[in-house]
Amino acid sequence: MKYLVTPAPHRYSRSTITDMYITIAIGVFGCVLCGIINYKLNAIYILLACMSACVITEILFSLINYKKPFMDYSFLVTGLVLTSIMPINIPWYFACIAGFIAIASKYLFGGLGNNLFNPAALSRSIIGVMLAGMSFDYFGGDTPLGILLTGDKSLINLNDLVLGNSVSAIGTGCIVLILVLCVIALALKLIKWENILFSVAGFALMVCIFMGGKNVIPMLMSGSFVFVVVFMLQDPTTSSYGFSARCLNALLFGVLAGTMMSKNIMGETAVFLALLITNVFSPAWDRLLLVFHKGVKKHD
Amino acid sequence: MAINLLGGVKLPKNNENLQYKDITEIKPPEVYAVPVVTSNGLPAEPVVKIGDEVEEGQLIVKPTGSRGSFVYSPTCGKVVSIIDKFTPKGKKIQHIIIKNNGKLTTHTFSPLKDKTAKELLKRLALCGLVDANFGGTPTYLRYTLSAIERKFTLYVVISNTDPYISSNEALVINRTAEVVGGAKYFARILASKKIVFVYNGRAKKTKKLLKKYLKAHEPQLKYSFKEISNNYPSDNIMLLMHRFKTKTKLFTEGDYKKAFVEDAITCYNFFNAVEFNMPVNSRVVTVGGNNIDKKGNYIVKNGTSFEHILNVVGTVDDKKPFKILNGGIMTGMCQYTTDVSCNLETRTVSFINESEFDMQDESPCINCGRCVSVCPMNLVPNVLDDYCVNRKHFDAEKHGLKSCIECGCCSYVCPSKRYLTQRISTVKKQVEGGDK
Ligand code: SF4
Ligand code: SF4
Repeated sequence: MKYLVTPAPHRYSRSTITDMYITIAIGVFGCVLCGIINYKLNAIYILLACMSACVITEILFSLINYKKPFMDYSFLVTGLVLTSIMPINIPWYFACIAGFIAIASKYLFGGLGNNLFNPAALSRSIIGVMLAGMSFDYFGGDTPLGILLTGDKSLINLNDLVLGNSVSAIGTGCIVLILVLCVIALALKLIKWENILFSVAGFALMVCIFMGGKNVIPMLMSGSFVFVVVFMLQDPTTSSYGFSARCLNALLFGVLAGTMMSKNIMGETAVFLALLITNVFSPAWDRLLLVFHKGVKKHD
Repeated sequence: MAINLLGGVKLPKNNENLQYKDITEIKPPEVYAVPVVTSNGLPAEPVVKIGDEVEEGQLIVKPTGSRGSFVYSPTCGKVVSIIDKFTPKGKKIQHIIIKNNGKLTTHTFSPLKDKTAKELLKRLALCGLVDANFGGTPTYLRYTLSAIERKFTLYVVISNTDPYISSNEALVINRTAEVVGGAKYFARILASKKIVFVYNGRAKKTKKLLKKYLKAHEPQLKYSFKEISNNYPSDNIMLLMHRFKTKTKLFTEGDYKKAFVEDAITCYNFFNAVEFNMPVNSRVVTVGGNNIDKKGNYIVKNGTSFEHILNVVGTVDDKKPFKILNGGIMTGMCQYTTDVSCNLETRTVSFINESEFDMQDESPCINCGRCVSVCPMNLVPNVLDDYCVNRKHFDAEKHGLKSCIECGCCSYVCPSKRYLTQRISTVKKQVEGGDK
């Protein structure tokens, strides 16, 4: 007779990271699809450029690091999120560079689970900074955020914002779709409600202070904020693992994003930069709150 | 509203319903190997020598300090040797090997006169009852003279949450009178105003049966029912004690000696010790797993070997590899051999085959925090794991390594399938070993 010996427990829950990433990727693909319907061929080019750069980089790095072509499917999420937040008129080679930076940054920090920055946000910020140097209309028109900050506010139509008929990045325009996906993801426990609540609260507060209460709703719906909250802030690797730390983290993100967007610091890139700054602090919150997790001494 | 404990995980339900099957005694084996000390190592020594004839219920081990427990012979027979052997928990300790001679004479205690609280407490100390939840600590240590007649509420757990353990429910269904009787004796020690029966949502039927019984047979008894969450490990006596005592979900240091929680098995054994004056030398054990024929709850004598149990219940397929667990699916410790014996801490023995266990490779931690949210002891398993991997044992200890109850919840929920419990418990043993 042969007995197997392994340590307990002997059964695990069905959920795996592969399932998790594939489910999220399907959701984000919905947003990209929305962009394809809006912008047709241009969006498809960017999708192809981004995805192929991500896949090739992933294969390269994981072959070097682990001698296996794919480690997990997180690159799918990164690629699709990156596509969603790309401005529509961006040249295809910029999209390729963005894909490369995203995956490479993940591996340079030590691979999945060790990256400090959200890969997509990092690469989008770098691209944003690069593009800011060139006077180049990469959105092909005035974005709602631009209009809100510098133009005639009466041009803003809330209906257009909700349905995604305004000029925006590829997948971040259609608020209604993102909200539906958000509800589904909440139900599947893929994202955390406290992240949403606290970031929106922080954002609304700052916009209220700097721009007045009536601008809160239009500001919320412009400049990719909703997309970032639902899909990027929730990335487990770069956010905190404790509940209260997550609340603090989300609040910080909301406050930063609100301030930077209202003050027109870096325009459309503001929200991604805010996310990067938040990422730096997320391990610190956890460490700070670790003192509350000490268990209890057992008595005989 | 069901009472929630901190953390915990929802385990899939077991549809075999072993609790409704009658509890039978397992056929006596030829040889018994009775451990001298329980796994928490309170000192004790044998009072028999090699070659002595013993009778069932005769005292064979007595404590050397003031805290150990008494052990009584499970059979009539001859002490053939006293050797060092591994227990199912992997500790090498002294065992008394007794060869069964087939005689049926039994030693019993002298009957109690009035069954007053003091008398009952004395019987509890002498009868050899130990707690499976506390690594075999004698039950009487929780009841001290200061607990006597202080009107504390008594809670009795009548359900189990691990799908491979159903002994509590089986006893409540099949031996209702004994369980209720035992609970009444415990209540008398404490002078409890009422007994609270604690059950989880999956044991509603058991609760109904018990309620029906109590209505019909115990009109004077004051009792109530309390529902706890279905989450594993909400039937853990230690966690419940804390929950009932402090009324908070979060752990702080507390005095466990004020909330009294017992399970159905303890009540059953105590009833036999008081009513029939029988020393405790057996325990109801759930024998389960898909690799055996006759699953069910059995009365297993102290010192019965796993091999004997396996022979009695019958293997389905011994060609394919399987696991022998001392415990349920979440905490069961795998055995290298069947040459180990059940003792009074054994709650369940499972023989599981490939259809029942998962083996997966681990991937890197993605920091999702699920392990943190399910830990019933309010620990941070991912960080502890990190310390364990990097051999930072001091840091791990600082962050509560020793409080881990090795429940397995963190490993269960981890999407990366990290071997959290496995590593944490290994390092915990090292650290605790270093303390001694
Ligand atoms: S095994 Fe330990 S660390 Fe893991 S959930 Fe249970 S008590 Fe917490
Ligand atoms: S559940 Fe697993 S992946 Fe998630 S934080 Fe804990 S160890 Fe890491």
